[in-house]
Amino acid sequence: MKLNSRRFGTMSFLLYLFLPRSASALQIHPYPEGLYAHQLGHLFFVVCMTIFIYRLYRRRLNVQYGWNYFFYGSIFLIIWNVWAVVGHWVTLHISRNQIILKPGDVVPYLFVNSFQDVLYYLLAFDHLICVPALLLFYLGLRNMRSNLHHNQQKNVKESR
Amino acid sequence: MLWSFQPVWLVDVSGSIIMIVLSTLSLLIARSIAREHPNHALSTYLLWFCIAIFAFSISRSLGHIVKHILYFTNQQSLWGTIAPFSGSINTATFIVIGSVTLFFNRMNSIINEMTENKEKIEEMGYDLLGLNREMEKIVSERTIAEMALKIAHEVRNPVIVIGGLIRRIQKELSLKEKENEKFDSILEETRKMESMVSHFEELSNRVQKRYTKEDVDRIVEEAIRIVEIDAEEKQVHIQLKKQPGDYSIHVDESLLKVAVVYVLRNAIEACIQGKNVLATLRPKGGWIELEIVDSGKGIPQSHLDHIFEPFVDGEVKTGLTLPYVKQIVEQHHGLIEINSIPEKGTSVRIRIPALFGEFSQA
Repeated sequence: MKLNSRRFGTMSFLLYLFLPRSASALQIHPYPEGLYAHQLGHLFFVVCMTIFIYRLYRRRLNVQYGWNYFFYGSIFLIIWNVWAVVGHWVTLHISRNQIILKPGDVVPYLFVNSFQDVLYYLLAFDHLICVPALLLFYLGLRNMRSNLHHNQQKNVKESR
Repeated sequence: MLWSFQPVWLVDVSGSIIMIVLSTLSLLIARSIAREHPNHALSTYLLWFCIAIFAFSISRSLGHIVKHILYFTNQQSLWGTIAPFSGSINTATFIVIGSVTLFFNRMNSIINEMTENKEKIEEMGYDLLGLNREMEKIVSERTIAEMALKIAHEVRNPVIVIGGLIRRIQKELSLKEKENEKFDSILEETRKMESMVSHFEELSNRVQKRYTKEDVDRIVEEAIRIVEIDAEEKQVHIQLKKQPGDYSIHVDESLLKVAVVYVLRNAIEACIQGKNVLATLRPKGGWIELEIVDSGKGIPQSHLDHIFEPFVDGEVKTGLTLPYVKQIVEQHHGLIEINSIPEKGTSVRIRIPALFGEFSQA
């Protein structure tokens, strides 16, 4: 008997109907997936910023007024991303029991017992990295605006 | 050892607030740039970059601030519900910032291309304006010269006749002193008219004094720059090959440039998309030779025989350009030669004597 596509389809249907097995067709999304996605997001951020600063450097924009702030701002963001990735990883290794709230106190304490605990505590100050990054972008934009304004006025004067 | 979270929280909250402020200010600046320069590619890019940074700062900072507020209001469990949303939005903003940043290279190329094109167009505009002015000057000078010559020719003979007749009348007729005075004043006026005629003749001679020592290679380069936009439109590549040598001779720069532009335009028009036009400049004996070769469709021999005749009727239509080019070349005591092979291409060879200027100045 020749096995044509029609017969193959009928046989498959009957097998699925009478001899079912777990097809594992449904992809579940358990808890760590969110963390992995977030960490991959950080890595993507790092890659994009690295490409960005490389292009700024190649096009000699890193020495141009305005873009130079973007150049250094992007370096800060790369550091922040690496900082955050390590921070998320270290957080996984900190036990809830290490965070202690003394009676009568509002702010809790961290029980520091190892280098990992010190790292966790220090990495929590990530705003010290990302705030300067944003400040540099802000300063860069201000310079670009004044440059564009200056060029526009120069063009108007020249056209007169 | 117990370390208080107080400094961490202090930096976290104040940092979050500063981030919101800075990203908002950045967004406002980017928006004002985009409003001032709505057609500027860079302003659009900066606006998108700032929107992405703003979204990142807001999602992150609000998440941190809400976390602390919920802690102090004893609603920590609620943070457990909000945290996945806050984290997911934060992750999404990473992707947005990354994507916008990756787009920078393309954006930058577009900006550079636009700036280069703008500069090129401006340069061409200046060149064309200069050439136009020079052409107007040439036309006006030639018109003045022709008019002056015509007037001189038309006026001179009658003035001479009038003068001669007056003298004969004075000689043949015995006139009274008062009448003689009147005839003398007529003679005086005819002399004035004669001197005016010689002024007109001088004016016509002035046109020939436009020859200055110029670099022919520079003139050719400028002519190429003028026709570059036509070449780019047609995707024809123009290449200039310059053999070493001295190209500094006495020429009428404007006229020569016009001649080269005309020949180059003809070459570009003859070419199909993707073909080349090769201009070769070389010193040859006592001449400077410019050869412009195109790989176009060529000119049939029947047309080639009448190529320098203006507006030839019938099948052959030459127009005025090549006769004008020939006139310019001949004005420089040069030679022009056109060779063509149908379906292969055409070569135009212009030769100008290197010592022509010295003779013309003498």
